[in-house]
Amino acid sequence: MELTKLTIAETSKKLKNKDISVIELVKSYMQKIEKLNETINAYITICNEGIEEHSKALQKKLDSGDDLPVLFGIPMALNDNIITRNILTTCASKMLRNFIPPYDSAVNEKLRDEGAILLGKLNMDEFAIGNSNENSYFGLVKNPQNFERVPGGSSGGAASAVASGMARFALGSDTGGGIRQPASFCGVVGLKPTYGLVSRYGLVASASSMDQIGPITRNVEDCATVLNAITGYDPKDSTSANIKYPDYTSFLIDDIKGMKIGIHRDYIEKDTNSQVKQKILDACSILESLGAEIVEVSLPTTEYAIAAHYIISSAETSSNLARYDGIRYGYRAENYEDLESLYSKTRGQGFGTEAKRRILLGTYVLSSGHYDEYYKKALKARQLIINDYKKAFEYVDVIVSPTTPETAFKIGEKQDGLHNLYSSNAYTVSASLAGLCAMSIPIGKDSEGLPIGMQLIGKHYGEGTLIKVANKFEEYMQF
Amino acid sequence: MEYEVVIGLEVHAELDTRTKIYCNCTTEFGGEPNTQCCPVCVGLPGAIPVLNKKVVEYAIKAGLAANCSIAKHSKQDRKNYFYPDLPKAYQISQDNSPLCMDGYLDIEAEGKTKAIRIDRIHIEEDAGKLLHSESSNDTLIDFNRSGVPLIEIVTAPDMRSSQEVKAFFEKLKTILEYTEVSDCKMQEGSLRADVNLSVRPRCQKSLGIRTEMKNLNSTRAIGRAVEHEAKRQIEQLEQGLVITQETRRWDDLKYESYPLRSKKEAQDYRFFADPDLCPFVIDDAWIDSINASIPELPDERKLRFTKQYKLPEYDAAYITTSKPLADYYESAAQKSKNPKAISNWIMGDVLNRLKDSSMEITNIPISPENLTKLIDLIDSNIISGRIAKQVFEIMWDTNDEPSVIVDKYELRVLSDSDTIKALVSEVIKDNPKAVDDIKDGKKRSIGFLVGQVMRKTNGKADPQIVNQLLSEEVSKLK
Amino acid sequence: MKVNEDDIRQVAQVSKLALTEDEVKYMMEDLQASFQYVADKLSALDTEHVCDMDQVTTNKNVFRDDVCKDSLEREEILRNASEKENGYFKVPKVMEGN
Ligand SMILES: [Mg+2]
Ligand SMILES: [Zn+2]
Repeated sequence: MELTKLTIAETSKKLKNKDISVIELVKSYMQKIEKLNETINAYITICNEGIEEHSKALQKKLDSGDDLPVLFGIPMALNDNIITRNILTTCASKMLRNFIPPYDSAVNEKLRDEGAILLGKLNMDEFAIGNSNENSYFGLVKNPQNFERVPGGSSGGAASAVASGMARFALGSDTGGGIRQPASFCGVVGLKPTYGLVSRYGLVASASSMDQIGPITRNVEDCATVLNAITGYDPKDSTSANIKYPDYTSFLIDDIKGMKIGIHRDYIEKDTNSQVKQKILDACSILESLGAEIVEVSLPTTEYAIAAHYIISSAETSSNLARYDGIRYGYRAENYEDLESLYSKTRGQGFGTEAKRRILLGTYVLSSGHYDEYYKKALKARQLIINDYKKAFEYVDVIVSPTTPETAFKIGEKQDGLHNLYSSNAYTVSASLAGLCAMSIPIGKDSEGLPIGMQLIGKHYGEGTLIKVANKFEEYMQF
Repeated sequence: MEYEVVIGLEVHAELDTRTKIYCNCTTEFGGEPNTQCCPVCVGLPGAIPVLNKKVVEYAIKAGLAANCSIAKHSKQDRKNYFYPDLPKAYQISQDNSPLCMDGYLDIEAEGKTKAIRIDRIHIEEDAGKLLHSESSNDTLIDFNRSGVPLIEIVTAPDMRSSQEVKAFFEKLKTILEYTEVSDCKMQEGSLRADVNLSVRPRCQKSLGIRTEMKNLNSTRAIGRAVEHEAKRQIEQLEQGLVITQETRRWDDLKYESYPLRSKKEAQDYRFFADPDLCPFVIDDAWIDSINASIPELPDERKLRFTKQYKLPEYDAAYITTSKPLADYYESAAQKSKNPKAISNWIMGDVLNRLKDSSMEITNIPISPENLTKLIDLIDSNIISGRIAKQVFEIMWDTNDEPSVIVDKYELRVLSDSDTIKALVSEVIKDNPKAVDDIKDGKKRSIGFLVGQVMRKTNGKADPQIVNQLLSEEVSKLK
Repeated sequence: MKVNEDDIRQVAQVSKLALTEDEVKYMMEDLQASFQYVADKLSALDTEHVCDMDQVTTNKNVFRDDVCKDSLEREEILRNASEKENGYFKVPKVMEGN
């Protein structure tokens, strides 16, 4: 029995029935990491130290027979922009290569309280900027499905770790597709929750108005289980949603008869690769056969989403990355003459190219001479996109599209330039701008065996609906 | 040529909240460096702010007290710039939606009453403190002050002289103290003013080029800096020079200012709404409840004191400039038959004694009740005014009731005629020379004899009776 | 919209990024293309009657009570700093006004 292949529920059951021990379980994941990580490079930090004692302590608790949460003893990993107290948190940047946080993120606290076991911290694009995981100070990550391909990004380490069994689940971060696009490329389930659903306290900011932490899992059921554990109102995050949080696993039993599913025609017709397009149309037929009604929706302003996202996220990023100045933490340049050169050398040497590009662009669009032309205009475009979605959701429950126009590209294939960089996020950025929940689920593979993902976009706090549809689809595929 | 000086103020006041604006660290002054810090206020990666409700309420309270209108919708913005005391490299402030707008304060200066307009009051966070290392040529940073809540109060360029500026600043300070929005301790940096000043020929309509003067930490320094800067600018213009738009720093010891940076290279702060924080909506009910918490303000109180306690305008104005002083006065005056005597005592002995021992009215050892009782003792002729000063000193050290002190030290006025008469006879007998002088018409010697009697009674004898009896006895000798 | 090398240098100066001449050239070309795309796109969008979307959060009036909680230990606040002295963070001499 390969323990790393068990779902969360299966694993939990086996732990509770004493079929397996936490120690065994952790060992099997650690062996997997030992075997694969050298090649895939999904982990920046592996939490070897003390993990055996920790496992033993958890096992002891299990042995006491208490009623424990479902994540108790489940091995998982966190994106390296999620703050972990006393554990190196680098954001995959030279800037933070030695940063040991003196506090904990809200999600890590929650997962620890549940008894989940942190295996390590995951590689990503530096400060979550990028979509290929090639922008990491700690080296690129390989797609476990095909080592010549990128895993996507920014949460490339998270998607590849989960896809290759190096963690049962992972938390990634999504600002414009950072969870969904790598999930699609690696053939796993990735959910970007509604803005405000998961606390951002302790998520190192990239673009604060869009950043969200979300689960990357092997299946929809795991996704719902993890979502239950990490959501909830957090008074330490001003943007946290103060709502009644449902049990997301309760949506796993519902069927989708009579549900209205909108298909985003523009996102299929435009630049989508024909194999991807075909699989999406097939998936829609499946959903139809399961009782859903498929209708076309029109979201004309989503065409402007890339431009708006590029401007708004860069503006926020330029401000969020300003605090890395070599004074209170992080890298400090070796040779500097005065304060000014301390600042500029530290930042010039500490940031990678992509981060610098965003800082320059963001600073530019916020400058007094360009603010109205770019930043303000982008905010207006954002409002129009929100309005479009609002209108569409008057008629449909979920909107589907490909997650990405094409499957995982080759390492080194797309280095520079806005168009290249954004092309694989073309369909994911609009949900980020509108703060909607969106999910990517695997729906098949192309002729080269590369995974294809379908994106499901839901209303604000519509995670349950996404889980419902995704789960029914997954069930169908497994028959 | 005749010049007009045009002055506006930007005042930063630290709010008297328990905790910082965006985190739960204490705002207490004077802690060991970097001991009042957390992930939020040192800007650690991943830490995000949550606004202290008291900050909004205090800002609105200050705004209402300064006759401002309160914004219905407001938000917080990032002001981006690099400086080692600013941990996030942006200050959370308010750009185009200040909480309070379009207020004014009436001031009295140079015998006239004048309204000084307040353009805006907004909330923002304070920065850390920089200091110079003693062991190296470096700068050290303490972030205890980082995140302490501030309001920034910006006036219109409505002031025309140092008197007006000082009057406005004092008035503002009084109001912030009265509303208990700020403790206004200038020596601790709780209240800091920047002066924007320009000059123009009297006939000219448009404003001249202005400078901004920083580092003004007392009302006196503000006055001096204004006079000095006005003079400097006028001299420049007289010499045909152009004023440089710049920021200058005032040195109150050297009595001079020097330029810090030219405004031409002014920074572009790239303001934008902080996505980590939520906008606020301020409804009438909230404003009303804050309004209800505003105490009587100095102008009203002054007016009431002149009516209720029949205080002269001067006394009432003087005492109401400080809320704790006015509170002290009022608790003493309420139970007194002689409220004017209380104001005399407060403006005289009480304030002098406080100054001598460098104390504030808030920790005066004499309770207002006991001050009232002391004055009652004088007014009912139980002790003399001179003895009262002695009693006052003992009260200061013990805070015993004055009557207890009077009994304990036997300080009661001696008014028994027989006893005094006997002492008068003794004195006359012992001082034949003085008696002769009086007979010769040297009236002043009678004072000497009075003094001798008083000395024998340790000053307790009723001087009027002594005087009367002495005159009688001496005239009998004629 | 033309971004030239001086624009890049100026923006780099404001954002305190030391760039090599190669980087300046590269960033200039790259941002030039980016702006071209963004400007072309957005200029085609009519936003005349659209309000600014300042914040995406629908939360309003989120406040904290004015209650003290423990700060971090100074040791923890300072532990990631590369230069410190007597409980302070340390930087090269700050000239007032820079
Ligand atoms: Mg200010
Ligand atoms: Zn703090």
